[in-house]
Parts: sequence; structure tokens; C-alpha cells
Amino acid sequence: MGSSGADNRVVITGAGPIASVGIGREDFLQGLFEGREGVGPSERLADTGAFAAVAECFDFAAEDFLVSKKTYLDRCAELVLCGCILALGDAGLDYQQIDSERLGISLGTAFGCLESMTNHSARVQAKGVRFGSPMIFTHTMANAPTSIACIEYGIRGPAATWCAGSASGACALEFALRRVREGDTDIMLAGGADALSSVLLAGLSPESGIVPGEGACMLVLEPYERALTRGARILAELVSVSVTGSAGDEHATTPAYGHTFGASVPLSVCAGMTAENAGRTLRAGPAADEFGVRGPGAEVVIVCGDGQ
Amino acid sequence: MAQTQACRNRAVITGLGAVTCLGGGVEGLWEGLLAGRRGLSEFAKFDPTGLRNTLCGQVRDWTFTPAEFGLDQTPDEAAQFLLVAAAEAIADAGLSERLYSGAERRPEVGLSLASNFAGAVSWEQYLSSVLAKEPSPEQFAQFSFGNALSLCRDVFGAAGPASQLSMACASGTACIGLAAEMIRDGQAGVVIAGGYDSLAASPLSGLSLLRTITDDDLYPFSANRSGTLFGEGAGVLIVESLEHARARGARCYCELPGSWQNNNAYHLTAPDEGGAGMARVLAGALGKADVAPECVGHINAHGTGTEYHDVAETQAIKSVLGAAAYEATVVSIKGAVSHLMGAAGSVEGIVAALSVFHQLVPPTVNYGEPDPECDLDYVVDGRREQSIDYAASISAGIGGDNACIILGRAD
Repeated sequence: MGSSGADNRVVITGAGPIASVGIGREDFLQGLFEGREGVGPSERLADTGAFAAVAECFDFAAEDFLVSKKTYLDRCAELVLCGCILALGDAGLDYQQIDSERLGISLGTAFGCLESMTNHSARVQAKGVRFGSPMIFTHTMANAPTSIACIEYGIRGPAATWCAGSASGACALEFALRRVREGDTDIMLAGGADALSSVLLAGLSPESGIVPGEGACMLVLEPYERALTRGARILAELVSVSVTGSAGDEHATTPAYGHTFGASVPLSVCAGMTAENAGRTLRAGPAADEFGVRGPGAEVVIVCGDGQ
Repeated sequence: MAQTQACRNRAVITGLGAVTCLGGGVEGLWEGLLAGRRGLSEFAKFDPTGLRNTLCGQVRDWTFTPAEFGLDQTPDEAAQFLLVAAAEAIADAGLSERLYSGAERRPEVGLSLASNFAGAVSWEQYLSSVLAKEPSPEQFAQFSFGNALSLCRDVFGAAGPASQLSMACASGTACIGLAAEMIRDGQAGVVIAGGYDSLAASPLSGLSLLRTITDDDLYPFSANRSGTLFGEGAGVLIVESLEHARARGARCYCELPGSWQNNNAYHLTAPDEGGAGMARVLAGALGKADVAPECVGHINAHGTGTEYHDVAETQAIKSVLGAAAYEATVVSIKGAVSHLMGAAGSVEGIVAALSVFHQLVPPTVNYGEPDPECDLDYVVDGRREQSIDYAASISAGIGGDNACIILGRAD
């Protein structure tokens, strides 16, 4: 059962948010605090359909964060790879110093690599099955960003990719919480990511009041005792995660960084972990089928730390 | 610290449902496998010109009546497979009256679904509509991964814990393990667990161009193997707490004591040397189940018939089971039903559960020439009675994802 006795408490010791209002935990929180503008015309997409303004990660460039130079990466995979590095750095961890079999990853993404899927499928539709792209195809799958992160950072512990609409990120946190609580691993990178694309925006309804956004947020989860032992700063305790067919807030509002689908729950968690909230219990999560995106609702409960 | 199994709920399988190219649900699958039948046929869903092979495990003579499920619209094809397999599993578990009777929301009923490509057919239609500058909101809703969760919630009233995995071809195995975790954690009394996928142009194009698809035939663990063949369908298992099942006098096929899922952290398409990732996933699942490797009497293998995979999986099994690997029966059902992508692990989990229940192993259908590097007991001469206390079902997928579940006799 999910009791949070002293021997199996799980804490968040790092966060790697990438959002339109800021990149990295401090910049993201500062952006939210000062009301930085996070919504505007896309600088990256040629066609945003019915949406004149979106919450794009305008200042994000993967090469600013990545050591390796991949020849092809889907935008979603870029966000995940960089989110991992930001989160580990925020937690004071170097992935090369962690036992690779005790490092796991759990990622939620509602739409995965939709841009790469479009690139591959449009070729197939235009020219026939012989003219798809085998290289791009391997980057179209929803699990590709997780897999690429595993390869890049040598993650040999538990791994999972969750695709459950806007609750995807909550599914990822729930799995990671269980893995750490059950002693299966020392460190879990857990969070969510989704990228904007023309093909995604074409399917969303502007009448829903949604401001579509993109982003990622990976969190570092570890046992409380381990965090204490290594002198880590504790941002919050992850108390519980519930993803159900009917859970979640009934009154959905879009945050300043837009509705980021799979990233929305982890970004909400990150946004809540401020000094002002120290000691407070916070809840985050989407409603089922929120904004017309099919999937369950979720509720994540954290108790914010005071070690900011 | 790891929690002991003793103080937690035990998870058992009480219902099975399948849609495969063998037809006839679970009975057609099981009887077909025992008889060594193959369900593959020439591709008929769209023009296959340009694919390396036109043989596939497509579901034939398919009809779906939305009204039977209380639906106004016809859902995506893969979701249809899922709903039909789920209805069969629910009936098999003796839960039809409680789970299949309208719009009542049941918080004690969970969902653990998985797919590689989810609404792949609807995706093609949606993309066509976008490229034609007339985007279809209906097709957008149908292709998304979360769609099946919402459908199953509405059709079966499953309003409890919900999750949907996508771990390529390891998806269908991983979701069974996760369902058992929902039970062990006390989140739900019953979980509908299953993987589903349908054949569509874009995935087949990619799998053909990667040469994962053979231009010959699918020969699991054989010297003349040269690749796999793909198919479609769904496998659904009703996973229930032992207490819940006993209280209602349900038949238990087997217990699910543990599972594991990981990534090779090596390459997007190539297996790692010696099958190290698959060895870790098998060892991890045995560890979670608290089962000694030598207690495994049977393995339902991934066995795709690709050159590198089958030898890597054989090496992984031997590295974990040691000498006991040669005592276990190791079966691939892909020669009979093909590789069902996100549904593969769930359908194979069903077959593994039936093997444990009946203490009977179907043959590896379409086994070819012996390969000295694949030297385990692949049950090549017809069905076999086998004493099985514990079985393992292993899956692996593009991206290097692996999943393994352990199945034990239900006493």
C-alpha cells in the first residue's frame, strides 16, 4: 500500500523544466514570478491553424544543453534529453557517476513524436510504402525519446513511456514513485514532454479556450534517506499520484506557459515548489478528457520542502 | 525498501480475450496453436506494393457493431479489436453482468492498456485530412493514445486507476505487469489489461524499409530465419486480486507474482551484445516475483525470427537460467500469428497463462532448420505436456525496450 512511512518516503531533489516562460528551474520560476510573456506567434511552425498565438519554447536550442551531436532528433526527444540534463544538474547529480542499473526513467507524452510521424507518413502517403524514411521511422514512435535518453545517459534501470493524454506525465510520476518506494532503483528521472507541431494544432479545438503549449519537465526522484545521506536539497516530498477515469480538477485553466499535454502535470509540480509554498500540500492534475484531449484525469500530491 | 509479497494483495488472471488472425477468440488461438495452425494470409487491407512481404497476420472477416458497445460512432480499428477482446475477457471472467451493463462508473475497476501505434489507421486518415487542408476533429480524437482509455471507461465503466503504455513491441507484456502492480497496491479489485494494434501503411513502410520484415517467411529460432512478419489484433487479460476472485468463486488461470521493464540503453534497432538488456529484464522480473531462476519451467519467448534477436534472446535466457535453461520449454507463437506489435505481449501472455493453467505447451509453429546458436528446447514436434510451476513471458521492441512477466500456478 502507498503508506509514506519514514523508510519509503520519496522526495524530489531536482527539476528540469523547459517551457515558454523559462528554461531550467530557477529561470522557469522567475519567469512565472515576474509574469514573463509566454504566449505569442510561433517562430518555428509555418502553420498554426486556428491559433494565432501559442506557448512555444521560443528560446530553446537543444545544442545549448547536449554534448552529443545527433544527426536527427524529433523536437519531443530534444526536450526530453535536455530536461533530463537540467534535472540531474539541479539535483547535483552527474549521470556518469550513477550506477546505470540503479538509474531509471519514466516519461509521459500525450502525442510523442508527431512531427517525425508526419515527416514519415506524408512521404508514404504521397509516394507509397517504399518511400518512407527508415531513419525517421525509428524516431516516430512514442517511446523513442525515452529510448534515446536511455542510450544517451546509460539508463539501465526501470524504463517506461506513458501515453494517456494530459495525464501522461502523472502516469510517469506514479510509476517512478512506485519504483523508488519499492526499492527497485536509487534515482528515477520522471516527467513529461510534448512538442507543438502543425499537425497537432490542426486537431485542437480553439473553442475549448486552450492555449496550446509545448515543453518538458523531468523530475529527479529518490528515497528520502538517500537524499539526506548525500546532502541533497529536498524540493518536495512526492506523497501520492492517482490517475483515474474520473480524477482531476473540474475547472481547467491554462497556465502562463500554455497547456503542455504530457508535460503539464510535471510542470505544475515544478511551478508549485517555491519557497513561499514550503510546508504546504499541493495538488496538480488535469481533468479527464480535458480540452478535448482524450484520456483520464489525475491528481498528484506533493508536500513542498523548505530547503530552497 | 522492497515490500514483501506477504503483506500485499496477490494478483491473479481470471479472464482472457483475444483477437488474432487465427480467429475464434482465445479458443481459436489456443486450439489453433496446439494444432500447429498458421493464421497468416496475403495482405488485403491496402495495396502492399513495395513492401518486402505481402504475408501478414491480418484479422479477417472483421465486423464491429458500435451499438453493441453502446457507442454512437465507429471507433478506430485497433480500439475495436481492444473492445472485442476486452468483452470476451470480461465474459470469460464471469464479470459480464457487473462490467458490461451500461454507464455506471466503477472506481474499483482499473485499466492498464498498451499500444505501439495506437490509432494507426485513424492517424493515416487524420493526416490525409490535414494535408488536404480539411482537418478532421473526429479522426484526431480517434488516433490519440488516450482514446482507448476513454472508450473503455465509457463502455465498461472502468473508472478506477488508468494507465496507457507505449513501449514499442514490449508494450503488451509491460501492461500486464503494471495491472498486477495496481492489484498488489490495492488500487483496484479488477484491472482490464491489454495491448492492441492494427496494421497501417506508415508502420509497415518503416518496418519493411528497416528490413525487420523478411522477404521470405517467419522461422523462429531457426537457422534459416531472415526476419519477421507483422500482424494485428488485441489481447486482454482480467487481472484480479486473489481475495476478490476467491470471494466470487472465480476460476484463476495463474498468478502474476512479478514483472520488470527496462531499456537496452544501446541502440534504437539493434539488440545489445549477448542480449544483456533482455537478461536484465528476465532477472529483474524473477527478483520482483521472488522466484529462483531454476524454478522457471517454461518461457513464452519474443522469438521474432530476426537474425540478431533470436540468438540474443537465447543467450539472455541461458545467462539467467543457467543449466535450467535446457530443462525449460521455450516457445515462440509468432510463426502462427505473426508479430502483433503492441498486442504481441498480451496475446503471448494469454498463451503463457494457458500453458501454466493446462500444464501444456503449444509448439513453435513454422520452426525451420536447427541453429546451433539457438539450442534450447523450442518444442518443435507438436504440443507438449510440461510441469510448470513458473513461466516467464518476454517481449522486446524497437528503441530497445524490454518487458517480462512471471506467471505462477494458482493454488
